[in-house]
Amino acid sequence: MVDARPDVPESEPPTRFAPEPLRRKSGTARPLRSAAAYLARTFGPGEVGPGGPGSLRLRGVAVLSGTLASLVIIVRLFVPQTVGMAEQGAGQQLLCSLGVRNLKPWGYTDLTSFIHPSWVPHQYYGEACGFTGSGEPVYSSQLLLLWLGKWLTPVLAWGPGLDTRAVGIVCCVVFGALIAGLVAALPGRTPFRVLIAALVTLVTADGVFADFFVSPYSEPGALLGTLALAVALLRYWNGRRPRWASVLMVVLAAAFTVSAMPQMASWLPAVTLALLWLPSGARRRASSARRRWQAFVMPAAAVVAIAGVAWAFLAVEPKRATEVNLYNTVFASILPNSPDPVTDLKWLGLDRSFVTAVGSTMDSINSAVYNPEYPQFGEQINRGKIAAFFATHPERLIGLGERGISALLTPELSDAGSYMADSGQGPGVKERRVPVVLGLYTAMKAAPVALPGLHLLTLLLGFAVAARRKSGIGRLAVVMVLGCWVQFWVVLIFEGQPDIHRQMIVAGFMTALCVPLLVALVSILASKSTQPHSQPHVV
Amino acid sequence: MPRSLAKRAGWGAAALLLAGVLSGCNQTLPGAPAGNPAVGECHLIVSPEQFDAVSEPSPPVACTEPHTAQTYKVTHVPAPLSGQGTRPGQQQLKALTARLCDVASLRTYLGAGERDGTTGLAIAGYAPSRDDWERGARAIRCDVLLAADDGTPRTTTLDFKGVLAGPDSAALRLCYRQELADGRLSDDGVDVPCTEPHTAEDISAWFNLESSVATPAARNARCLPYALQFLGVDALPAGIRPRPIIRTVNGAQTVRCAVAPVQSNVQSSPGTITGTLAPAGGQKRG
Repeated sequence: MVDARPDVPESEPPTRFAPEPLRRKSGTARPLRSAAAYLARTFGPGEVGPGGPGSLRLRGVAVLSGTLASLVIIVRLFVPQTVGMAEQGAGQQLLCSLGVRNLKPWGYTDLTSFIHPSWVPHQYYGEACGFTGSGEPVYSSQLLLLWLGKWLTPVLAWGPGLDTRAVGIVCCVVFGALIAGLVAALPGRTPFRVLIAALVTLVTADGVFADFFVSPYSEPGALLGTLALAVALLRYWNGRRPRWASVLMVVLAAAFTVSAMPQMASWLPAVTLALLWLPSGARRRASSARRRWQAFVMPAAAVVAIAGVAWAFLAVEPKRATEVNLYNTVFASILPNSPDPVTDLKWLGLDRSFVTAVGSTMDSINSAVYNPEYPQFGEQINRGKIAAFFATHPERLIGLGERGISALLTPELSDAGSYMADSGQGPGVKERRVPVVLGLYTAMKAAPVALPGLHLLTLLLGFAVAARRKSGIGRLAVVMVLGCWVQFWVVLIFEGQPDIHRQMIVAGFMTALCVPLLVALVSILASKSTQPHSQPHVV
Repeated sequence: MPRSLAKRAGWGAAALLLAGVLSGCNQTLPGAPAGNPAVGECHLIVSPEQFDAVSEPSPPVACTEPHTAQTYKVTHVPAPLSGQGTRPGQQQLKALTARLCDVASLRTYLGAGERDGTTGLAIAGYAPSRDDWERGARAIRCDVLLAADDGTPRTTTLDFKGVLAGPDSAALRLCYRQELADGRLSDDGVDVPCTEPHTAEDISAWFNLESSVATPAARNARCLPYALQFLGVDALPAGIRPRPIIRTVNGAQTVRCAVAPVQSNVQSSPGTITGTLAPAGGQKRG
């Protein structure tokens, strides 16, 4: 649990925000400005000072908010019947390391039509457990949540193995704890904190995200890790200077996040920026050697530690997974959208005979793996070469980005059912009771430019709040958008097209978090500081 | 305990826990070396992942114990693939095992005659593990798996070697259960193993339904030689007659020759049988 503590040092006067809009012209209030004014009056950050965040009352509100958020997601997932995300065949590669086997139909269609939460104890041997096609071990920080779920399963009388419903409950509890931490770490008045926490809960409750909690996938680790990182960063920025406890919290949250899925290593640049982007006051105050160590060396050491975890995680990523991703990038992404595939093959150092495999996956009948020249692929293609290809063919990024936006705005895994086989629901039926993000993204599909628009607006307002109000929320908005962009392009460039909708889930979640962040930013900007501008403002 | 110390201990525990998770809590055992399989070994294969794995090193079980699969053939990776220092990819190996683990070898192992129809059998081919490959192993293991209609493995205590020539062959033989309508059995029937109640038994002879075999008599005449071959006789025994099954797949009609007890065609409640009519197998009237 995250403790609430003052956002500003006791020696500094508290920053006060009046409930009136900052730049309101008399008699010319526009609807947007009126809404911002209403937000500021009702939920505005208000007074921020030593008496607020650390108070016993706020701690109570944080715990209550976290408990409520946890219960909301539990009810949403388990009442009136269990919903989750049906697996598409890859779930076993992670859970098998816990010594369990899924009780599921043999056929693929039956498998994906419903969720099959029961996993029974099973002894695996050799390559039967691990990445599909090679048996290499698969690691993920999600194993921590799965391990807790395995411990909880017999307690809930769901059998001796592992039930993904128990994992769902673990995820809900962790989510509640993170919401409590968010309420404690946010600046401002209680209604403001609760509003932002409620919006984050609403976003997470959408089936495109919450359903993953009851699944064998590693996405819950990535989603909860992203949230944990946001809370840890807010805490980190709240202090006058980096403190080892807050830095350690960021390191742990980041380590958990980047080791959830290979694509999550893309968080590294954003986390680096976040750790080194300290309030100017903190730098000024770093006069003594100890302070300087705290202000610069400790964040730098944290960056090195997180980079080490990310590097170690990528080093143990199954080689087969890397090969599959590179294959998909070349044959399912670059070549099918190329005006001249033969020229591209030549640039990549591949024989022109591979042109018959354009548009294929490894499992296709016309897969390149059946080409006698296939060993050439392993010799010539690596991530560096793919990056170099796009660097020298920047025009390809336009089409790639368009396909990525389309995939991000289509977050539902269409062939994965949400219900259990005995639910009375038909095969493959999706559950859409909280379609806030799905609805927003569906609407945005009409004008996909709205997606980068949302990002840019969040980024600009984030910069504005970070610069003018010295607020951690502003920095968080900037870091979230930049992290989302890096993740978006890493997925597009290095992980190919066939499974792109699932791979874009985390980027979709980070985009959805821009909505509560925007509400917070607008609310802060629409409020007026009553403090002289010469003094530092910490929100 | 001072609060700061407790806090540090908590962080330390969290870090240790995370490190433990990341370092792996894999409960998978290495299993038996996959480089030297032997024909006749029985295995317990229960999951699709195990079935589809490139190598399958679970320790053999005694064939008198419940098992789902048995090795019917061991062969070797041919050149030039065998010359590779690192094991080829899954797709290449699966294409190779699909070619090497042939049905003809399986039928020979099962002791199947030309007219023995089978059901519920699947073939799985396994290559050496990566480590065994790098140690020079190139053996390919071909297993026959006993499976239900949907592919789910069925356990058995049968030894599959020569089983179709022996008295326990009914579990592997293909039979048909026809429905009775208006006092007559339907032309088609549901595929069932002959250990389940059925009305006809397949004799592994198929032909297209064309004008020359449009009448039941013509179909019976066409199937008769195959029925005699199946039964190992020169003339049909009393009480047994051909009963062709008509199967429609994607609009194309095929005649599957089968044999059945005569009386089961005319009773208002047709008599079903369990077991097989094959000379070496026993049958019971239902």
